[in-house]
Amino acid sequence: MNCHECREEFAGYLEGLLEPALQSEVESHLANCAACATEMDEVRTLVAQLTRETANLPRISIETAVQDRILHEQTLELRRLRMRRRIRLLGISGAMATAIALFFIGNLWLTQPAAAEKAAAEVLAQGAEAVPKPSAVHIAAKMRTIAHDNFSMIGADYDFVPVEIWKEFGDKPKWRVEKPGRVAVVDGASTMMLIRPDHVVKFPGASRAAFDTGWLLALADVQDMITHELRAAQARGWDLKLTHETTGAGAKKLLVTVEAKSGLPADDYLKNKFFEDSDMRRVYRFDAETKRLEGFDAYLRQPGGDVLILSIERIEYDQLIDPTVFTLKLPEKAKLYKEPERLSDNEKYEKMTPEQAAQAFFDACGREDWKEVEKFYSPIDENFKLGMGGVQVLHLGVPFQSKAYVGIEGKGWFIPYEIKFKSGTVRRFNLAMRSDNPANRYIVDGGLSCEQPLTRLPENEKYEKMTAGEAVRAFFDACTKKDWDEVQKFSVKPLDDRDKEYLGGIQQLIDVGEPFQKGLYPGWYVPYEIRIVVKQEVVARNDNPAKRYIVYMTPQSAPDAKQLADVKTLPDNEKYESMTPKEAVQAFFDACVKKDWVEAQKFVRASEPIETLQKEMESPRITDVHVGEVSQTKEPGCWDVSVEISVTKKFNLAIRNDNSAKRWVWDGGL
Amino acid sequence: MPSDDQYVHSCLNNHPEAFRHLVERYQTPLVRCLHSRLGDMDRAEEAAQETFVRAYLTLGKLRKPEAFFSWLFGIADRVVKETSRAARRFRTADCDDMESPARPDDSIDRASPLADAIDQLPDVYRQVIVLRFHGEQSCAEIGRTLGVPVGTVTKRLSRAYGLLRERLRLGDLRREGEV
Repeated sequence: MNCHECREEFAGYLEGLLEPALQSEVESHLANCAACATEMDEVRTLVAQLTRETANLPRISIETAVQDRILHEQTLELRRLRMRRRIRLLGISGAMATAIALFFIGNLWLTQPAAAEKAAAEVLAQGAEAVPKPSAVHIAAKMRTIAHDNFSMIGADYDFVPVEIWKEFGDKPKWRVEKPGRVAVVDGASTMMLIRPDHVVKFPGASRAAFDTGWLLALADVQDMITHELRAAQARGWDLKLTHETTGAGAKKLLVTVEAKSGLPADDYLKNKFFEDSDMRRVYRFDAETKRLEGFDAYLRQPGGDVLILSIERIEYDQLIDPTVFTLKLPEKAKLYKEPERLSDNEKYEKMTPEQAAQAFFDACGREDWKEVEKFYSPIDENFKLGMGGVQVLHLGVPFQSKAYVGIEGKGWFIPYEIKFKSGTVRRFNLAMRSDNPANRYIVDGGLSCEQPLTRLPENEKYEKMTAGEAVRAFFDACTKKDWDEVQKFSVKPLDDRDKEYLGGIQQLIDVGEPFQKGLYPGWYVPYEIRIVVKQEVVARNDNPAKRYIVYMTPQSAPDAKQLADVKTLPDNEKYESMTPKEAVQAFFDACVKKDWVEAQKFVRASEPIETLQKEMESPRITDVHVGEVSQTKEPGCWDVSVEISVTKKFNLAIRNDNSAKRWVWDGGL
Repeated sequence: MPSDDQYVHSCLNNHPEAFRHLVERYQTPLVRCLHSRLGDMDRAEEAAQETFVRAYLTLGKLRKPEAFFSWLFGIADRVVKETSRAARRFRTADCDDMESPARPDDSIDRASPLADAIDQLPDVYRQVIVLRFHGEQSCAEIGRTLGVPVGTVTKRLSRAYGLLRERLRLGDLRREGEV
């Protein structure tokens, strides 16, 4: 063995990895070669130094940090790509589409997703890609919430109310979010909300989202919604699942289920009370061919089983939206919300703890000192005064916070209270107060459960003695007879023309079921079945190449080229061409009554899936339709058609008698 | 155990999750290498993260997947240089306020002579030194990582030791003023 050969084996020798024979040769050479022996000593010193310098260093684990940074970089890149408008979402190449799909899949790389999870993520990514950035979106949905309360509030025990979202994209985005008791609008220049009938909040400037509409508006931006969902799923370890479905008509659908977790502790007060703070199962439905999002359902996770909380019933892309949708007509005597201002004695209020502020507020209500009350809660109206006047504080509990309500620098608190109204009714709940305002003082932000003020009638005893079921029968009987004085006895607020028009359509009470109570609702739910006639205006337009009437349930502007192309010429087109607007509308509804959805689809846009049409028109069950007056609008080929739709409706009427007169009053469910 | 180029190919063929294995394999040696050059663990981790992110985002540009290690450490070298330049700018600004004249600051890049010598090794030798001492991998593990026999690993180590000895000796002589 020569010196070169010996030195080649130094590392093997020091590691103890040499074969015995080779080891002997090296040892023999070292014993006889001073230069190699010196070199070996120096290598030993070097190895010791190398070992010393790297010893006692901590184990390194930067995978998570690397993952987060990659996610961040890719998100930025996606935004830059969108802005450069190179992508097919706005025109992307196949290669870029693959890259985007990889981006979404890549987001899951550190969690070693199962093949099924990856497949689900891929479908979501394709769904984001399938929708070109639209110019406008309109969504019709239903949601379990309180009609006049916060847009984000949900509850498994609440009835479904309709929710609609309109959004127009562009340099000055405009949007509208509406449910029966509350509407918020951005008209490009200002942001407004009306809490019906007359409470208004308004501030200058166009907000991207306000009044807790953020998550609802996110539904209208499919790309952003799905991107956000994917990132959240990856970052927070949510499960994804993909299932395949074939409809009765043979259409193939892809369903992606996301098991979203709020991250709030189980005992957090706000957990599962607001959309963003809830544990949910969210189901995205895509068309397997076009990959477009067609539907979305959200289920609230409950110990007793998941409850459907939100369902999108219709999504329309690129429809021309009537500009008046983005305006808000304010009531004549609107009560305008004002940001709390600094008072002359502001320091006194700034120093208050949440509990002291709650006590001061209730005490002022008790004394009917409304000027003082307005320092904590405004605007107030006569109903509030009637409900809260004379209230007595029985007990205030220890204030607590929620992880979902402390985003405002820990200035949000809940104060448990027990109060007694003038009538003697006792109410327990939690008052929400916050101090993140320019005046830095606590104001009431929610949780105020007023007593409903109700006058005692001369014959009040008769109504007090009614059971819940008897009260519901009496209420519906009065509606069928249009006996409005009698109906008023079951209503807190004065009946207006809209109420009378709707209730006046009740033709027959078919059945009343056994009342039940559920959740925290202080009243009762009474199942009912009625036959009701709803009067409505629909629109029929034949300004399309096929010259046949298309029926719209809401006013529509003139269709654009893409929408016109959507109306195909049928094999038997002549039959439909020759129909008058009245005949077309009647034929459409007759088909709906017979559940002949194939025929019904001939009167709607071809791109509207039959399943969507069926879902929209099947419930409540239409039993008959009478088409009334027809009038031509200013637009050629466009007609307004009055219809009276007779439906059988089965639902649950909410009634309660926790009011000053102890009478049953209708509280929802119609 | 898959080799580097197998993981790289996997990443580029619709399995980007394979990049995780490369991070796991090289995070310790990379951070420790950077620590020996930067002298600060926080900065070393930061630089390592930046290195991996850049590697992930430009993986498609790697022409020789089997040379992933060299390529990765090449990115790390650039990150260190950029970090040093940024630090130098900062210190210069600070020095403007000082009464004493500014001195060339040779303490920013606080690499030890040994770390410096390792950095100057040809990639094939640098790799085995980094994996053996910074990555604490056995020769058998290094063999599996690189897809070569153990004997090849030990021979490369031996040559690396020789080169390091030579460079360190040269460095000593420079400091003593004899070269």
